[in-house]
Amino acid sequence: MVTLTIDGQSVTVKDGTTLLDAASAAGIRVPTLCFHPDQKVKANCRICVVEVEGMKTLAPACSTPVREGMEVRTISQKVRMARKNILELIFAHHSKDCLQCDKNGTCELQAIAEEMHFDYAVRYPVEIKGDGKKDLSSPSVTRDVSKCIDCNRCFSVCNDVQTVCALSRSKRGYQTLVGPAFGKELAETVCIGCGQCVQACPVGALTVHDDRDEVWSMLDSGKEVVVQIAPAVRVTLAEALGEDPGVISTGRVITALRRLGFDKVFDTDFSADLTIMEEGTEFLNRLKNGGALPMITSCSPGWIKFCETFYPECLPHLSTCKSPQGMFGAVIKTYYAEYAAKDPEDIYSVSVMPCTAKKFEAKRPEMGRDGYRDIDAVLTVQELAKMIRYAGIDFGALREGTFDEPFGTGSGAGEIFGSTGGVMEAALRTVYEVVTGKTLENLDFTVVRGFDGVKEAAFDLGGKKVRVAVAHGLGNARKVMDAVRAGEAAYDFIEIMACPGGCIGGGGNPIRNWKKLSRRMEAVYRLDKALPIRKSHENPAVQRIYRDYLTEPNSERCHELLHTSYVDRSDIVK
Amino acid sequence: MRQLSRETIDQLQRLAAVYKETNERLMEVLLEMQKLTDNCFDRETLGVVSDAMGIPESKMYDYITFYSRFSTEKRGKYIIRMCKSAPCHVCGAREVARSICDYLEVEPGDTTDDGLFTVEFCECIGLCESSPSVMINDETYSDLTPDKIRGILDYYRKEVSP
Amino acid sequence: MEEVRIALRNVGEIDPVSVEEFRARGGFEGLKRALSMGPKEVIDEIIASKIRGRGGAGFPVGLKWDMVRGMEADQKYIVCNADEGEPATNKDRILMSGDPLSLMESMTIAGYAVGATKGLIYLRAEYPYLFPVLREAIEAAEQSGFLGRDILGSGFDFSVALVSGGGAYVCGEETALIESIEGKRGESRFKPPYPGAIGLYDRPTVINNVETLMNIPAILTGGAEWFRSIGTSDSSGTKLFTLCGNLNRRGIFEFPMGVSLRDLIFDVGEGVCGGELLAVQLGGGSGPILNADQIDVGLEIDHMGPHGIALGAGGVMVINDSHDILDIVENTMEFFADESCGKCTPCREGTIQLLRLLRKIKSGRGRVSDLENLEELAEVMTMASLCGLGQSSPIPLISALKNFNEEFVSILEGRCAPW
Repeated sequence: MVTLTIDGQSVTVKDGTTLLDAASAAGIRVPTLCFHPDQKVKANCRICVVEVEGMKTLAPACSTPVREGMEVRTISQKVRMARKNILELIFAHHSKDCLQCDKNGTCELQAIAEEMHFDYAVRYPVEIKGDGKKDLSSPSVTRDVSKCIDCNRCFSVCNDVQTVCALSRSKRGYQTLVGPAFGKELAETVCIGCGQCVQACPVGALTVHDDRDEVWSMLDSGKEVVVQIAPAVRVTLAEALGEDPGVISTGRVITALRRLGFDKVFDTDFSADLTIMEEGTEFLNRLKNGGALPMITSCSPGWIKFCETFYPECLPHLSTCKSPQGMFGAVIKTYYAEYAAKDPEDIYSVSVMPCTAKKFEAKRPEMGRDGYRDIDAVLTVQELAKMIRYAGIDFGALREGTFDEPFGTGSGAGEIFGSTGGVMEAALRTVYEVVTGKTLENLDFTVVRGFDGVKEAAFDLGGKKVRVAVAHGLGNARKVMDAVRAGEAAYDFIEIMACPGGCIGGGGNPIRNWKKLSRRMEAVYRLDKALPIRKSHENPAVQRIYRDYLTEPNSERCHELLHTSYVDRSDIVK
Repeated sequence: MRQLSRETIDQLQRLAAVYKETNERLMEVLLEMQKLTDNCFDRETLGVVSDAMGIPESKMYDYITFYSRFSTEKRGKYIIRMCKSAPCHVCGAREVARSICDYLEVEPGDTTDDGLFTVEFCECIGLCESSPSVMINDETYSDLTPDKIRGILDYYRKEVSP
Repeated sequence: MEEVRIALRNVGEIDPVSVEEFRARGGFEGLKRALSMGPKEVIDEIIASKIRGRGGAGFPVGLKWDMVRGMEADQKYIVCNADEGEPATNKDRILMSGDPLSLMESMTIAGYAVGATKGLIYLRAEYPYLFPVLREAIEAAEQSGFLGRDILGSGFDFSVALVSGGGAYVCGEETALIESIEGKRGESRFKPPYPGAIGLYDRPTVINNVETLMNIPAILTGGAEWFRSIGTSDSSGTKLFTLCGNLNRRGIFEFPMGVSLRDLIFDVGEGVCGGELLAVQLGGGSGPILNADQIDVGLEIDHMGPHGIALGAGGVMVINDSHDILDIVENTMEFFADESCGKCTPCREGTIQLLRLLRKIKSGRGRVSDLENLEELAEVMTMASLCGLGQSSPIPLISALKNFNEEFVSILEGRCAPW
C-alpha cells in the first residue's frame, strides 16, 4: 500500500494505482477526455494533468502511478492554467456548435468547459477541422469530424476491441485526422455499424444516425404506427432518462410510447421466442441431417455484417433465421395485417432497439416483400429517450402499461436475449425439452452467463453431447471464427453478439462502461426470474401464431417470412 | 485509378512474404514496395499491399501516412527532397528550392509532366555541415547553389534517364 | 584548437568495414576486456566513468544499464538510436559511416553488461546510404567472431539487426522509436513505465545514442579514471559538435566537455561568413537561440548558465546578421509543427498555434497580447506535453523572445495598430 496526499487529503491505495484512481478514492474527480474506464490508458488529451510536488512538469493523472509520500494538487493555479490552454487549443479547431449537436448536454468536453467557466474568445486563430461536411452515409453512425478531439477512443474500440478496423488515422501532428482511410465515407468501409465508437466518443464526433424526425412525422400521418421494443430496451431506457443503470421500466416504456402516439406497442420478446423455435428447430435438423456445424446465431446484425465481410466462407454456418426484429417485421406486415384487417401499406412499423446495426439490417433488401419494408424505421434507446423528453413526459411518474395483442406475451427466454449468453440459454431451454421430452428442472444455464469473452460449455441432450460457445464483442468473435474457419472449432452451436456484453452493451444505448453493463445484466436475469413463462415454446402467443398462421417451425411459410440469406461482402476488404 | 501489372503484384507479394516471415521488417519492406509502385501507395496499391501483407488497409494507411517517406499520391521516378530546416535555410536553401522549381516548372509538392521528378520540401536530412543540401532518391547533393543544382538536374534528365 | 578524438578515434583512419584495420587500431579490445570481466564490473566501470547520454537528455549511462541488468525478463534489447533527426547535428552519420565496427563492439558490450542478446540499430530513413555500410560491418563482425553466437568463446551470444526509420523526427524520442520498431506510428508513450522496465515488445530495453555507445569501448580500454579526467566534473569525456550555418569552416569536431562556444565559432569555425554574428542556435533544432553577447560559455551537458543554455545533441548553428531573427524562429517552429506526432493535445495543437501566432506577429498584425499568449502557451506545452518533443519545442521561440526582445517589440511597435 502507498500513502500520498491529494489536495491536502491523505489517501492510502494499492501500489500501482494511478493518480486518477487515487484521487477518486479521496473523493476527488479529476476531469478526463481520452480516458475511458474500459480502455487502455492513452494519456494523450492532457486535460487530467495535476501538479506533483518536486516535478518540473505536470503529471497526467490517468497514467501516473502513485508513489509513497507524493504530494499532489489537482486544482492549483498551474493546473488550471494548463487545462484552460488545452481546452482552448481544442476549441481552436472545434466547431463549438453545441446547440446543434446530438451530444448537447451529454458531451464530456462541454461539461469540462462549463466547469471551467470558459466564457471568453479563443486566443488562437481558429481553423475548424474537416471540410464542413458530416458523413451521413452509414445508416447506423454519423460522423462529424469538426467535433473530433483526437482522443482516439473510437479508434481504440474499433481496432482493438471490435477488430473491425474501419477507423484509421491520417497524417500526423496538427494534420492528424481520425477517420476511415483515404477519407472514405463510413459506408464505403468495413464498418459494420455496431456503434461502439459512438459509445466511446466523448464528444459529438460520432453519434447515432438519427431517425427521430421521420418517426415524428409518421406519428401524425394517419397510418397505423406500430412499435416493437427489444428485450434490452426495458433495462436501458430508464438509464437513458437519468435513472440508475439496471432500472427495469417495461411498463413505463409502453405507456410512454402510447403517449407519444404509437398505435400499438409490441414486445420483441415474442419474436425472440419465435427465433428460438425456428433456430432451435434448425439446429436440431442440422444435427440430424448433417448440416453445417457449428451453427452460429444470427440475431446480431453487426455480427452478421462482420461475418459477411471477414468470414464469407463461414456463411453456411450462420443460422438462416432473421433476427427477432426481422422476424417481427415480417410478421407485422403479414400476420398482423391480416389480424387487424389492414393493408400492409397502411402500417408503419417502428422498432426500438439498443442497437445501431439494426438500422442497417432494416434497410437490407432481404427485409421486405412486395415493395414494402418489414421495418420502416429503427429508433435506438438514445433516440427514444430524447423523444420522451421532448414530449415533456415525466417518465418517472408514468403508470405501467401492458403490451398489445396478439403479441402480448413474451417469455423469460425472450427477455434474456438482451445479454450475452441469453440466446444460447434460451435455445438450450427449448431444445432440451424438445429433444428429451422431459421438463427441465433447473432453467438457469449459468455457465453461459457473465462477461467472459468466450464462454464454452457442453450439455447432454438426451444422450447426445452438444458443445457450445458464446462470444461477445467482435474481437472475441474473431478468435472463435478463426477456429471455425480453420476447422478447429470443437463446437456444435455458437452464439455471437457483436457488442461487448450483448445487446445491453449495444451502440444505441446510453453511454456505458463495464460497471453499468453488469447492472444491466443483473436486471435482465431479474426479469427472467420473475416471469411465469420462461421457455419460448410455452409462450401462448407463439403457440397461437404457429397454429393459426405459420403451421410449424421451419415450415415453408416460416422460411418465406422468418428466414433470410446472406451476402459475401469481402470485396470491400480488398 | 491505375491497375498494377501482374509482374508488380508478384514482386509485392514476394516482399510481403519477407515481412510475414518475422513480422519485424515492416518499414523496410514497405519502402522497397513503394519503389515498385510509382513511389506511392494509392488506394489501389494499398489494397493490394494490405491483402498481401495480411494487415487491414486502415492499419496500413494509419502507418504510412504518419511517415514522410510514404505518399498516397503518385510521384515521379525521382523524388527531390529539398531540405528546409534551419541549417540549410540560413545557407540559401530557399534560393536553391526556387531554382529547382523554376527549372522544372513545378511548385513544391508537384510532379513534372514527364513523370520524372517530384519536388518536395522535407525536414533535416542530416547534411548540415555542407548545406544547402537536397536528396534525389537515395543520393545526396550538398553545398548547392542555384546554378549547381540546375546542372545536377540536367544530368538526371540526360544521363540517368535519357 | 586541437581536437580530442575519442568517439572519432577511427573515423577517417581505417576502411570502415575492415576488421583487420579496425583491430590494428585497438578495435574489439574493449569487448575483450568486458568479456574478461563480470557484467556487473562492466557496469561499475561505466558508472565510474560518469558518462552521460549524448542524445540530448544526458541521463547517466551506467545507471540506465544497471536498471535493465536488474530486470528479470526472457528477452532484453539493446537499441541504438541512430535516428539523428535533430537539425544541425550530423555527428552520428559521421560516426556510423566512418567507424561502424565500433558501434557493433559497443552494442555487444552493452548486451553483455545487461544480459541482452539482441541489438537493433534504428537508422533514420534519411541515411539510406548507411544501410549497406552497417550491414557490411555486421557481417564482417559476425564472420570474425565478434558478433553472433559464442562471441570469442565466451558463451555470450549477441546479434545486431538494422531497422529503418520512415521519416519522422519524433522517432528520435526513445519511446516513439520503440513504437516505430514495433511496426506502428511513431507516437511517444507516456513515462513511466520507462523503456528500461517496459521497452521494445514490452521487454527491458537499453536505448543509447550512437555517440554515447561509441565511447564505451574507449572507457573499457582506457579506464573510467582516464575518461573522467577529460571534460568537466559534471560532464565527463568529449562531445561531438556539428558546426554549421554561416561559418567559414563547417564540420563535425570532437572536444572535451566544457569547450568554449566562442572558441568553437571563432577558432574552430574560423568565424562568421557573410556578415557579423547575429545568433547561434545551440544543441539542435530544439535548442535555445542565443545572441552574440551570450557565446562566452563553456559547453557541458546541464550547464544552465545565465542564458538557459543546454548542450543538447551538440549542434552549433551560426546565423549571420543578414537574417531576420523572426524568420529563423518561424523556420524552426515550422519544423516542430511538421514533426509533432500529434498524439497529445499541447504538442499537436500547440506547435501549430505557436507558428500561427508568430506569423501573425511577423506580418505586423500582432499585438502585445500575442506575445503574452505565446509565452503562456509555451509554458503549457513545456509543462503538459507528453514527451520531450512537445516539452522542448517552444525553447527556440522563448529563448529568441528573451534574447532578441527588441526585434519582437520593434515589430509590434513599428507596424501594428495601437493595442
